[in-house]
Amino acid sequence: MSRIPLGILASSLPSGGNALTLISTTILNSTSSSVTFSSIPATYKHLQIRFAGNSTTNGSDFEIQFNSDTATNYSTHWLVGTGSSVSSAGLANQSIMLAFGVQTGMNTTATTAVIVDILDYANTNKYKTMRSLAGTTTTEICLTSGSWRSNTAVSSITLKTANYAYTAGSRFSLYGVS
Amino acid sequence: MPSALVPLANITLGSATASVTFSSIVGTYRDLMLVAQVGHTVASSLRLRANSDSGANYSYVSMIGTGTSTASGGGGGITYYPLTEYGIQATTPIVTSITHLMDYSATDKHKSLITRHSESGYQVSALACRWASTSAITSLVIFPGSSTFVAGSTFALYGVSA
Repeated sequence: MSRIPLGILASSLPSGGNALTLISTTILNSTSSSVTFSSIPATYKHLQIRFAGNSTTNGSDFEIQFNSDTATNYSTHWLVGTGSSVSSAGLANQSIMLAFGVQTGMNTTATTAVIVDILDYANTNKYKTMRSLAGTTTTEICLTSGSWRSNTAVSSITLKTANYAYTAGSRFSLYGVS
Repeated sequence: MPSALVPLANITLGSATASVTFSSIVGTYRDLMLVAQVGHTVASSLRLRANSDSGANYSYVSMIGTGTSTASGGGGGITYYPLTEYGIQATTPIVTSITHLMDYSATDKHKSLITRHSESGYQVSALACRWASTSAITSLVIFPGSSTFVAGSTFALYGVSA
């Protein structure tokens, strides 16, 4: 067996540079149906969202909108496993992208983990794309990809759940990738 | 501004090894990320335990593609976080596993992880797992189910800043 005491090793490792920078973290003090990261600087190459939390009611989803655009400018495709079956589908011309909750969704007790990568978010020459890896032990594991049909740089991100709300203690973090 | 991705440990096995343990993990980060590239001496699944807990306190849901079929599995009351559903076939360190442990040091929630696993020529999979404990994670052990890691297998643990 190889046993690594981190207190000794960590001090001898080189630093990770500035490849990943925390921009903002929100931890809910009370239930909320949405969280918005605004005034996102355009100085990074990509963005990453990291979420761990629950919903107030079973079956909630995890939705994404950019720059408060609520028009039908989004598409999502997904691959999902529910513990008994695997399926794939997509939605075009929607008012949101889905990062999670395409089948059975979030849960009131088992924590949902979501990681979303938004690529070239500040580029004004292309549509914006995202991909996510997300799962809740008791409901589903999914891979999604989404697009926002706009060349505008992403300056705000709204994370929301349809019909229900995120619970107090749910955590939303936004990172910049250099 | 310091990087939010902080390397905590990075090891390469010089010989076949039954398991790798990361201990004394500080609680000052938000998440942990474990990147492993492994091979097994005998085909077996890849597993992870928190705080040496070998009780039936873990559960999971999975999604797998093999190139010819798909499958989804899940269950509870198991004694480890499964990082793969099917056994790793490769006997050279070419299998990639990237695991994110979210809010690993929180003491008011169970510990969830999401992981992606890639073994070219055999399988690609994703899993969501939970350890039903509100204890902060202070150690992790990664191990093959009934095998050993081959020499050259690598393991890197990172802290993601709060």
